[in-house]
Amino acid sequence: MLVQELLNAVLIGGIYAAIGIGFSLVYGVMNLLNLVHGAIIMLAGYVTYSLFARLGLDPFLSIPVTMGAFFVVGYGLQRFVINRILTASVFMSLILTYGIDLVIVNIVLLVWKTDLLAVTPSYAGASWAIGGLVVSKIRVAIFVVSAALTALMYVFLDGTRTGRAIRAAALDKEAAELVGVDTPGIYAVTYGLSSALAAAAGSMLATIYTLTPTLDGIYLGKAFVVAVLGGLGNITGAAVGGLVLSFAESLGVVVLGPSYQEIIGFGIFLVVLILRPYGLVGRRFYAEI
Amino acid sequence: MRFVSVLTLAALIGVAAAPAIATAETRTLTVGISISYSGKFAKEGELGRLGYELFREVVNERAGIKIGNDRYLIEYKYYDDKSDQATAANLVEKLITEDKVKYIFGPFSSDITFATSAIGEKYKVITMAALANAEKVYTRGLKYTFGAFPPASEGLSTIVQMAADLQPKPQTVAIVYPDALFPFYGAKGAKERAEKLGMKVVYFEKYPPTVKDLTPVMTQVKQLNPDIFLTSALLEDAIFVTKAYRELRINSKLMGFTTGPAVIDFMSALGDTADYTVGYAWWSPTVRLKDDFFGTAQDYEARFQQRYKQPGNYISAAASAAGLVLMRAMERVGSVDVEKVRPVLAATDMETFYNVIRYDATGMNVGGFAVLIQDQKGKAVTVYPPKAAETKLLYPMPTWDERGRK
Repeated sequence: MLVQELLNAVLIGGIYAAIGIGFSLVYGVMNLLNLVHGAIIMLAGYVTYSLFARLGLDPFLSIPVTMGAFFVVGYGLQRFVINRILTASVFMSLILTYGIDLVIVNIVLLVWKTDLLAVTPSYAGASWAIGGLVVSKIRVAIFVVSAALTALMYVFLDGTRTGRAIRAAALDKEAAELVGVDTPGIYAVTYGLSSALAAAAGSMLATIYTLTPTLDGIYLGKAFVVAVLGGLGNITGAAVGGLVLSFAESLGVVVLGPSYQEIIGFGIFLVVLILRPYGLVGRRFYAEI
Repeated sequence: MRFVSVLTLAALIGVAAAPAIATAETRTLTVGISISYSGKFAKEGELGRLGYELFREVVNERAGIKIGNDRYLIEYKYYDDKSDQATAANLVEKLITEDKVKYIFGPFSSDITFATSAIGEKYKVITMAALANAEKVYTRGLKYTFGAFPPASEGLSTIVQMAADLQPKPQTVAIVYPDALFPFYGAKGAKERAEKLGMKVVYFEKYPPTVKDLTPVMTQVKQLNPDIFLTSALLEDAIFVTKAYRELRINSKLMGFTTGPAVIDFMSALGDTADYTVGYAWWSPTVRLKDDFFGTAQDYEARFQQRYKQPGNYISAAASAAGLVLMRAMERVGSVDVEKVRPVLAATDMETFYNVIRYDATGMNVGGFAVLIQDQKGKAVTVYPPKAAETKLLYPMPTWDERGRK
């Protein structure tokens, strides 16, 4: 059964990575603690629900739709709203992003009410039985898609002109501007990408979680822990952070009992903050992405 | 000229009406209701109001309650407690000191009633706490507070009670619940009942209320392979517990919940995965109970549907029944004086369309029973107790392989 617990942990780690990666990206590039992140994951889940319930669109096929839509939303949000306070104090950015989070939550309350909703394609809940082990099909799919998106992000940041501009802007804004990088534009693209990644996570998670208008806080909390564990601003770090958190939680249940599953995760979080504030994967003195 | 004729008319009416007033007067009894219109209990508060309203309508269309020589029409004074404990306490104080009410119909939830009933006690005003059943509300030595729901711990343990007579008899029980007050009472009640009935409780664990993914916990449940698997939690948790139950292909003989199988959202969120799950309610239109005011449970259901264009529910039914119990006590005493009504109300032992209502020394309704509901082919049907059952419990639950589900 320990093998089953470990297998569960790997699969949940994929989910956590999907939640944390976009959050980490935005922090790394523009030093912004984006409190809207959880709300975007939640809203994308609700959009996925409507696409599924109204049009019969499969939640995994709706990923490109929600990613595209939320890229545009994120781009606009950064360009016209958040960009105005980037140079202000950190409190301004917390107040603003928290405000946007509240607006999104209330949009959800208006449009979808407080009913509990779930996206249930025919394969929801289905699993493979291999030996004595049970492997959920949806969770494997989420893991694969998350890994693919992480890899794509990595390739994009490393191998494309825009990607390198994003990294340049992250390392040194002034120097990047001196060599001709349009940082406001780059910031907007980054925020759009982060929102698209959040949307992908939201679409996929709608199939395993139940949609409620309070999910934003839960998602945001996980994103924060995952990003800090891996090193804020570090893409591969988010993947590592996701796995570390899910292993900590699963082992917490096995070793200490279900009541303590969150204590171990947050305990590790604190230890990492004290001993390696730049994250498990991050490098000292670098906000590397 | 016109002025004179009006006066004449008034005098004539006065003369004609005078003898009638002397024998029987129609008075008004104002009951204060502070209940949730907004906030997290807005829905439950609305259902409670519908129940109180239906009681008032029936009383008033029958020309009021006959108390002594007089007839009393009922009138309500409403306030919105915003689902907030402190606001509710203030509003009840206002109802008593400013609006001068002597009777209060209670709000939804044990937590809010916990606060409002204390105010009622302070001013010696009777609270019909129809919609609160956590033991802690009643075990404070209250004298003026009377419930309608059976105790919180009775729900899940009724499922255990039913299971004891099933063949093959279940031997092992696993219980999980989020770390909160109401789920704890339900879980504790079920655990104690199982042990009393000779079953072995192999797993009894709480999890943090913020957890949304119970796979790690459910993996432990799978390992223990209990005959009965119980979850004492609210609706959202019931849904993800059931999802994990299916994903991990756990095969218990009986799966029971505090909230879930009786709620339409549960079935729409889970589809046929919800089949065979069992939950409870404090009332269903199928119970074979009746009184001489609302009639049978079916009569109440019919009237409710006709009036509100929606199916009845146990919250509204409990609210209506609380009104009925108070009314009967007043009729027996022949007075609306609180100090005279209180001892008679405390001695209540009566069958209503809703449930049997009998008070213990704390004012809690210990006469009632829970009704068990099972989801069968996408429909919620009543399966227990026999005096309420529409059909038989499907037991044991078929395994996932038998259900042909991969």
